[in-house]
Amino acid sequence: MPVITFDYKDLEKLGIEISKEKLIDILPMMGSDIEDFDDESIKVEFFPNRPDQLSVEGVARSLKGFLGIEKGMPIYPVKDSGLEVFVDEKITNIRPYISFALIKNIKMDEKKLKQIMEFQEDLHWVIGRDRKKVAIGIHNLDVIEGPFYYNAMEGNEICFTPLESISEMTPLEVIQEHPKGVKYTHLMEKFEAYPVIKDKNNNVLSMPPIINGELTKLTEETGNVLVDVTGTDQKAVDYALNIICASFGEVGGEIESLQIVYPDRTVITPDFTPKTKNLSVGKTCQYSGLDLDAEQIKDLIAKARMDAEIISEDELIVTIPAYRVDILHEADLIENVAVEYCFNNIESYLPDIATIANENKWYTSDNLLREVMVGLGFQEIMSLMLTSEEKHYHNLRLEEDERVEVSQPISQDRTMIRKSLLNGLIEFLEDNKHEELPQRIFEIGDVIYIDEGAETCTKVSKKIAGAIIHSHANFTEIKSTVASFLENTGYKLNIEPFDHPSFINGRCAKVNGGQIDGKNSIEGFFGEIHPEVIVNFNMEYPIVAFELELIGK
Amino acid sequence: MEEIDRIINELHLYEKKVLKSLESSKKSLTPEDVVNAQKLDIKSVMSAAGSLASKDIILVIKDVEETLSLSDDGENYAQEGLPERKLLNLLQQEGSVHMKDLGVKSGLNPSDVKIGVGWLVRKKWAKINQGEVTITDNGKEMADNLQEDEKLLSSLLEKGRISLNSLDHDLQQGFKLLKSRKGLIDIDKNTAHTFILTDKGQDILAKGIVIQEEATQLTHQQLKLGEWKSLKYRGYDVKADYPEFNPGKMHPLRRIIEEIRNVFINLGFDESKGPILESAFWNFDCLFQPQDHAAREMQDTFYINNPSHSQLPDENLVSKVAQAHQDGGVAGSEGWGYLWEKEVARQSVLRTHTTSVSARFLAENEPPLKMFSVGKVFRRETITYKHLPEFHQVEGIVAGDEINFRNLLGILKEFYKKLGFEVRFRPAYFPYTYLSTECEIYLPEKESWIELGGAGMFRPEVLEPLGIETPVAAFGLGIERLAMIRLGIKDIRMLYKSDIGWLRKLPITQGVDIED
Repeated sequence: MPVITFDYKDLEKLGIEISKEKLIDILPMMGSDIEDFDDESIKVEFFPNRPDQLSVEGVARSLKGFLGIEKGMPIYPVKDSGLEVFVDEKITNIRPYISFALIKNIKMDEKKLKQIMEFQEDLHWVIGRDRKKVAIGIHNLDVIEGPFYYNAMEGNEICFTPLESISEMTPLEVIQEHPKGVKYTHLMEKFEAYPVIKDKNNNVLSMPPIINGELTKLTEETGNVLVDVTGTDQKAVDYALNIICASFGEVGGEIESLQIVYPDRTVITPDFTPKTKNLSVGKTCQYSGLDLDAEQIKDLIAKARMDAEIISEDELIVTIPAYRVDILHEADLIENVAVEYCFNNIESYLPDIATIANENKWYTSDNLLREVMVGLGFQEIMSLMLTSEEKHYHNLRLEEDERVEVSQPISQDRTMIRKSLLNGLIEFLEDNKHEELPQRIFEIGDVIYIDEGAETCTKVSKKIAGAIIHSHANFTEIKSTVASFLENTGYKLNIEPFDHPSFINGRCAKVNGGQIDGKNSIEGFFGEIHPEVIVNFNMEYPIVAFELELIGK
Repeated sequence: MEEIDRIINELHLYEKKVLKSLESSKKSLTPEDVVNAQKLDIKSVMSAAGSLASKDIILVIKDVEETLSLSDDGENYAQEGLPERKLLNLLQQEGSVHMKDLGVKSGLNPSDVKIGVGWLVRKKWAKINQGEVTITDNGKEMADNLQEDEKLLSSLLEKGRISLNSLDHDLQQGFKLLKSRKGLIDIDKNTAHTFILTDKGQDILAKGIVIQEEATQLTHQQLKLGEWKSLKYRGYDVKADYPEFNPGKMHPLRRIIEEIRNVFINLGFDESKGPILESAFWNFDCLFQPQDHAAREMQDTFYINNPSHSQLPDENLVSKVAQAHQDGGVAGSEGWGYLWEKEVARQSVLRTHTTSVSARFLAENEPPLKMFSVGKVFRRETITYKHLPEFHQVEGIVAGDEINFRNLLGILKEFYKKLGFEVRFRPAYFPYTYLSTECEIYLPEKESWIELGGAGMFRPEVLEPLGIETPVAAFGLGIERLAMIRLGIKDIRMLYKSDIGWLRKLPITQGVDIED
């Protein structure tokens, strides 16, 4: 999640006098997580639904509302620049949407430059899905001249000097050679032409979503900027532009709009027209549990930096700034009301619903099985369901068969989901081979089989398995264990000889325990583990083991 | 019982016998004395004495004694005389003999000649000049006298064994000489023990000890025949070492899961479960998580090669979910505004949260209801001391007309209170809830808050497609981190790759409360 860093002094400059201690108390209550802080600066993580808070100006705007310093929707005036942006028809299949804004009279310094870069990168991530959906360029306006052109160009059709390069490159060279080009080449592989933004004099501003030109690079002397946002989703493109403009607007940047001339339409950006939503007093109270009237709600909405108009005792119309991406529904307004009320001030109480609890047999059955195994002196263990073919099949001398396979494993030893508990038990013994013997362990756990007919094409099954290791571990000991377990859990004991590659030939038995009343059954096997298996797991003492699967009605 | 009586009661029969011997002799004794007096074998006496010494009742003094005896070679020399003596006898007669003639004239074998000549020179009995061996004055004088080594040899021949300590000055000189010759004398090292009563021992004897037939183990035989009536059952040293038992036990994480289950059962929650391998539909789409959401990416979620896809539920639900994503559907929402794809929703994943169980439960049940579920969830994390790719969550929902956010906080507060934690709430964000909150519990020893779970009211975009018309409060809490705090461990891996020594030693509770 996005993390922003700023100095306490930054807030001071933005008109907020607050002690470090109070800030640390308050920020979490506004919906953030303090990652770190020292005497000068603070590092805060915001949730991805509030990209408007990813700059210190945005944080200040919200904080002023929360503290009651400034309330209501901020107004950022937008002047018409009279400039146009012409959108090439060919671009509509590649990266169809573009929005522009000019921001004049801004104060830049080294720190501000760095903050702008970080803000831009955070937005690329949060709204832009790593530039796929949205990419942003901020340019030095004073070196270029409108109108501007947003074109799709062939790989060798144009040359420009991209950022972090000393020589001119064609779009194709950027993709193939420039570090940013290589990093984002996947975004362009489907296309034969590249988006390029140019000015009146054919100066290249940007090759979105890959890289900007060196020409329009921001410096500490930059006083006027041009913001371009391109993307595949009109709404996201506009939000990103609005968030940036609002952030500059908060510190007095003068915003100017441009006309975007598409082949089939003309739009003006940035468009700061707020949206409105109705908010019911009744629903606000019902869902939050707070007892509020329309006036109180209006005030809390104002603290959330929105405007509200009371239209009846039960209804308000809320005006939502154009940079707020998070308000999809009335429910979000209710959340804003509660956050501004402050979660710390909300008293809790238990619901008054009479319900009767039912335990799920899948889990209660565990306790019955466990009681017997613990009584037999076995220590319960828990192991991970993710395992590997090596451990699950090869080490146990088994042939691979159908199983749940993970598509991008975290490591070579976590590639599949277990179908048996045996390797988990033996791995545990391996991990504990220097501990005192005898060791008697068991596990009750879920395994997953492939089941083509099922909704998820899988079936979860419950298994219980146990293992014993010591210098005299033998067939009789495990047979006594299994027999005792089955008798005490109400199953009949039917034993047949069984060939299982993990066990010594002739020292393995199949168990098929029907329940006395014939409803449920249990089946599995037990015996003396094959010496090769023991050696595969790097151990030197005999192991006996059993595994049983519980089968429902 | 007084201390001294307790000590007496714990005395083994043999220990008493050793003490008795000391009592009658009133002084120090050797083990052999006790063996003779009490008709015990030496091993029993030594073991009883060791035990008495460990209790400071007697002192055992050790003396190391070296005893000399003749080896076969030594006995030979003792009978026949040393080679140099034989050569001296020859020289006494002849005055001087050339080296090469010594063997023939003395009748010694060549190796003894060599040894003899060496010792002749060393003992200054003869001189060698250009091969000519000539007797010295010293030699002449010694012709009729025995040197110290020869004296020791004959002593040993006569007595068999002589203690090293008992040798007089002459014989000690002789021992030094003989010791430098290999293999003539055997030395036996013998440790001699002496038992001496301590003050404590004297107190015990003053108190009086009775020698009585005693039994260690109470037996079936003794009970059946009534022998126990005349037997003395010695008291044991209750502080003595003992073999340890390792009981079978429930896994500590499982115990915490059971505790959590009990809390929710007690609060009237129905227990549910759902698939572990889940369709993206139930894990994400149904929960209003847009298809390009970061959490759905490969780097966070385990997708599956086999089976790569799941079946979708009935078309009605699917199309309502699609609408909720695209334009909000009838839920009065704007939706996410993108083209929802069925194929993306059909992808199989290892469920990333148990919220999928809540979604399924709501699709099949009518409010009012309270449901909880405990289960494994999966995230694409590499295994470190902090993270595992799979862990447990407890998930819960409460649905009913009157359910609100304050109730949600009430349930969570009650839940953590029952587990012994103080909880606070701060605003958070989840795509499927509003009034979203993260719960943090307080760690007094660290004086800090730690985040343990998320909660909120299910959004209308989630509920409307599922046909739920009442508010639904929902929460999902991680269990492993809570278990780590409870068990005082810093490495999450200990829960799964456990050290059996840790499991064996870990108590199942810190004492047992028997009163409220």
